[in-house]
Amino acid sequence: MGWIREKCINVVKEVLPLVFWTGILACALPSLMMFSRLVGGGDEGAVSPLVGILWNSLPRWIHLMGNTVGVTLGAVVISLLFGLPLGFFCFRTDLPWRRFILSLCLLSGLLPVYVTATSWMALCGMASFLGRWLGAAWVTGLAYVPWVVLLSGISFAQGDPDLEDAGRMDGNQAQIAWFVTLRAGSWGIAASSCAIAFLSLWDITVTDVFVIRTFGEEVFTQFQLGFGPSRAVALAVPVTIPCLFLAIVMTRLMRDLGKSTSGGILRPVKRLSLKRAKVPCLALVLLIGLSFWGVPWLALVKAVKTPQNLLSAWRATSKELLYTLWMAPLAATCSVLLSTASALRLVRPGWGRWILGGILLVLVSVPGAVTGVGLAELMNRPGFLGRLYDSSMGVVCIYVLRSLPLVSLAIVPGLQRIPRALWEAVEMEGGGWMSTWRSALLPLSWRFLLGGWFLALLLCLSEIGASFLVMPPGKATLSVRFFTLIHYGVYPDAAGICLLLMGFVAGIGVPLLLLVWPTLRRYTA
Amino acid sequence: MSKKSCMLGLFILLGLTQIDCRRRAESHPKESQRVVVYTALDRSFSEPILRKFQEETGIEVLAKYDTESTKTVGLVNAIRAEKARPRCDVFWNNEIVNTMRLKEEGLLQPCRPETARSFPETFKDPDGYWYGLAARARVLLVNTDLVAEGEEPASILDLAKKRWKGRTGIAKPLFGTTATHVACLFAYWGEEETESFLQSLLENQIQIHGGNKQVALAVSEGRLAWGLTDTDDAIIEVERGKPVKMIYPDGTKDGVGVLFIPNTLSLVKEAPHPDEGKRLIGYLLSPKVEQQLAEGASAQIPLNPQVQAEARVKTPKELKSMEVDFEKAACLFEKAAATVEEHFLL
Repeated sequence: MGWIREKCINVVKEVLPLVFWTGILACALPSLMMFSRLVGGGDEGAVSPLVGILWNSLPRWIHLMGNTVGVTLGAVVISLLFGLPLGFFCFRTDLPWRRFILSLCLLSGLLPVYVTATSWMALCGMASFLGRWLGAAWVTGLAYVPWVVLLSGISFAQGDPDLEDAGRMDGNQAQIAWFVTLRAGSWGIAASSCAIAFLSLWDITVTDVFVIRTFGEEVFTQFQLGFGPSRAVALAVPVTIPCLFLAIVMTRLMRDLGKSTSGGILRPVKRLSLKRAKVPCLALVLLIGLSFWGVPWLALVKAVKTPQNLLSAWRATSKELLYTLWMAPLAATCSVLLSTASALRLVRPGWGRWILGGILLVLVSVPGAVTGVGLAELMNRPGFLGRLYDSSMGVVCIYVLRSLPLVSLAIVPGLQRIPRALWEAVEMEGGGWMSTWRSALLPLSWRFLLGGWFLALLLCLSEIGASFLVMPPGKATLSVRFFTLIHYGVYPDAAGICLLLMGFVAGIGVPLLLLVWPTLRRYTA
Repeated sequence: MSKKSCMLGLFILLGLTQIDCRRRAESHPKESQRVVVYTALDRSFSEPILRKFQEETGIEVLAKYDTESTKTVGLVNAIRAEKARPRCDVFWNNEIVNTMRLKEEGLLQPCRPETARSFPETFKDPDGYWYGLAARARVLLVNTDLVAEGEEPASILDLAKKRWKGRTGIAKPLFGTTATHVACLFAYWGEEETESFLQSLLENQIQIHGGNKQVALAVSEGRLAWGLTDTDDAIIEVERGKPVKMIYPDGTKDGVGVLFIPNTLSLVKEAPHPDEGKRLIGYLLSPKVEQQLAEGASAQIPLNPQVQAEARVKTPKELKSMEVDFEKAACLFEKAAATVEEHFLL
């Protein structure tokens, strides 16, 4: 029986790369198909709209670009402003209640951006409390703070203790923090900035609510207008190209980051003692947390008014909520599986990593609406693909396509941290890919996979621009339903959905939190 | 991770898939007993009616609703995109111009429901491609706290008056009934006059909102002095007791008339479930549906003379209505949209 098993393993070994590459190319196909229209001519002369935007409507182009850059940069700055100090306090100091604060961060990090938008609208009304673009940037930035806290915090905690010990001989705490800790954590800062920039760049929920026209909104609107997909694709180009450059720069920045020194992976870094500043620091953190998250959430509770309204919100949206809670975890699991394989390919040498990196860069740079229309065109045809398109598979596919690049990016540092020597030792002992995974990769990188799953889940729960276009009749995700409801103001139904979603996120998040609790303890011990 | 754990995980995943498949199989006893409807009418108004049809006939209704910010046009383009392999059976449009455009493009097929007979000829296509029902009027919603009595606007032309600079609003004129309104103005006034009117709106810093609902909300919350919206969105704010008042613009003898826009129903060409689609259209044209729409929160105006519901908004019988050639408006829709896009997409 042994030879049969060996034969099977060999077949799987041969087939798996083929399956992986087919899957990856299939992921890229919708976006590439749409962009090929620009070269091939398309439905009504695709290049002309681009030329038109650049030359004939320069003020409009500048206006759109200004809004897009304003909202994106604003969101990144706001999230870093709050997230970095909090990440440092929780992961690198002896701040009291830090694990409790981190647990809240982890749970609130799973909430889609529209929950934050609704809570602020419940607090301040539909009026733009900070102006249009600043309001959009504020809400988006605050929504992504938990991810900055977690990513930057983990990167701070993974600093090199040898280097920090050496630094203590020559410099003070501030110099160590600046030259060693911040530099060691730069991959986390870069990763979170990059992720927030990409997420904000193509978001259409917050910008729609704040009536601010960005390229993401423009591309979605153009698709819906029906002037032909090429026109919308052409409109996506002015942001897709800088996005690609940004992604390349970030990837290069992160290439060597996350790699460990021989000691770094085994020995924890020393924690900074806050001494007398403990209580004031905790008070400050709690005050900020309560002011910017607690009070808006309480405003949501106030907007629901009575338990009957919460029940009514459940009745009105239970179908969408259950559908989303079935689709999003399923897609997140598929995404993590494919992203893990991608990350594994990205950290190993060879030509494949460049092709894969290129595909992921394209996927992350393309707006959701372009991917959505591409997928719809690809699948909506007679036969097997058509049947898939009519089912919920289109939604799962779009969720995977939209989350794959960022989840891969989140998993790469986890695999890079594993010492190459350990990896090679397992392989030299004759273990196959399965045993390498089981004995080396999985035990050392599972928390990154779990983090990737969380990220994928968040992306799936928030996605709207692409999923709306492939949604089968009779189905709707919560974000699509919410996108409609939010236009009607923060009525009890909209606020009720937010509270229900928070409840469900707590339901999913708490068991996972218990699972990662020992790791969290170790990082913050 | 042991092999047992892997196998367990795999079985759980397969089990969940089976649960979903079984649930789907139970809820869809017969593939043919279903109808797919794309509806641009607000979900809160159309869903209860579709649910009732499902309960009464046993035909499962799979509905696709529009978002407020891409109202109507989003679904029209979905029907266009799917023309090689249509998924939609019935298109329930909340306006008329885009339905006519679909007919011109050969994307609809005729049907002759029995219940359509009692409707006036004006509100149905002579070839049976579409049927109008339950109309709404385009109205001005005025915040009475911000606009003193006697100073209220009376015409849509007031949107361009300097005294209201930056204090009025409309929905994005590329979608929904606002796009229809612009196309109708193109047909009624002509291209030049409408374009100059649109330009004057821009110069008057009119605020562009995501949808008519948002305009109504902005007025009732005092963020706008007044705005152009639909009766169904306006009446909700009036009945909520907000300090607002509905004005029917240009409804006097000298005015161009109030624009009334009916909902339309049509059967999509090569619809996968044509028989069920025809049954649904027949049901939606029945007097009880118009009655329900008239008595409901949207207060729509019944077009079928057999419907005895008391209208809560003014009807074409009481006001001068805008005599617009909807077919001409349909022909000019693309031109109107291109003009609006050029001026309003900022």
